[in-house]
This record gives sequence, C-alpha cells and structure tokens, in this order.
Amino acid sequence: MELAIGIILGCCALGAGIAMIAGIGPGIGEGYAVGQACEAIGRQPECKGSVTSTMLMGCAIAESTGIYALVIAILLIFVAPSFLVGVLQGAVA
Amino acid sequence: MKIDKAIKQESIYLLIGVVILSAIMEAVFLICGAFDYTVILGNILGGGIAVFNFFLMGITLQKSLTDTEIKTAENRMKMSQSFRFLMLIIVAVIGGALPCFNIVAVVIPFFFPRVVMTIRGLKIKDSPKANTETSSESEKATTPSDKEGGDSK
Repeated sequence: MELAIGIILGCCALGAGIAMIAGIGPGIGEGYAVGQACEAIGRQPECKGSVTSTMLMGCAIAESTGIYALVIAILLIFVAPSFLVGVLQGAVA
Repeated sequence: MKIDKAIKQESIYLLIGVVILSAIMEAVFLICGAFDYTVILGNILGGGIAVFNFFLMGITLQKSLTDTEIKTAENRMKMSQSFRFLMLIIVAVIGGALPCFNIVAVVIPFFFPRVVMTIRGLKIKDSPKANTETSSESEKATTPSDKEGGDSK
C-alpha cells in the first residue's frame, strides 16, 4: 500500500515536472515576436503605438500556453495525489 | 521611466475585464454552493497577479522596443517571461499551500487576460473605425510610392 502511494506521488511529481517543459515555449515565442516588432518599428517609427498595442495582445495570448502547463502542474501536485490515493484506498477497502 | 500611454490604456482595459470576469466566476461559485471567503481571497490574489503580470509584460515590451539590437530585445523579453512565470508559479503554490486561499479561485484568473485580449482583438477587428483607419493607412502607404513612381517616369 505504501509503495503504491509512493509510486502515485512520484508519478504526479514527475508529471508536473514534464508539464512545466511547456513553459519554455512562450518565452521563445515572445522573444522572437518582440525582435520582429523592433525591426518593424525601426522601419516605420510612426507605427510604434499600434505595434505596441498589437504586441501586448499577442504576448498576453501567447503567454496563456505556459499558464495551461502551470495549471496542469499545480493540479498534479495539489489535487491529483489526494484524489488518486483516495481512489486507491477505496479500491483496497 | 515614463510608462507608454498604450500600456496604461490596455492595463486599465484589462483590469476592468478581470473585475467583470471575477464577478462572473464568483457568481458561478455561488451557484455551485462552493462560495466562501477563500474564494474571494483567492480571486483577489489571482486577479491582482494576472493584471500585475500583464503590466510588467507591458513595461518590458516598452523597454524592449526601444532597444536598437534585436538580439538584446529578444533576450530581455525571454528573461522577463522567465521571471514572470516564476512569479506565477510561486503565487499558485502559495494559493495551493495556504488554506485561506481556494486554489481554483487563484488559478482561474490567470486565464482572464487571454479572454479579455481575445474579446478586445475581436472588437477592434469588427469596429468600422479600425477598418477605415486601416484602409486610410494603406492608402497613405501606397500613395507616396505611386507618386514617386509617377515622378520618376
């Protein structure tokens, strides 16, 4: 029983760690987008306001991908272990 | 450092959107019968951090857009995203670890900026003012080159 609980907790922690790999993507994407925006402003400085607004919207949407991963990781750490251990104990009883 | 007008405007718009969506979320909790003080505290923490995260992103964006080197701007944004993401992780862990916060009410407001910005994007796209501005900008962009082309001929 203790071994099974240990495996559940370990797998949840491992899954949370793997889920957080998705947090790398938004950083790379936002960085690339900002680089291109810099180039665009360099070419047309009068468009700075509209580029900033569009970039803000784009970055906010791009960042939510990482937040999905964060939510999965948080669920795996805080919610899944107690739920799965409860299911296991119910099955054993 | 002076904060850009567009960033202030978007942050205020986001704040209003987050408040509205938070009210809807609390109403859903109330209907489900899971409403207590932890939901309110969690909502304040999550919503506040979501708006603060967006504001920090705007400030970083403003700094990055003034950079002359593209690589520096990219690295600055990547670094900022890492730190902001770390902040979100810490807040989510605090929300999960402390019993005075409801973890669901902490985490759900992190998605509100996406919802608000998607709605804002659709509104801007659909508004006739934006369409006319876009068409006038494209006309401005094409006219001088045509003139130049005509002069050269």
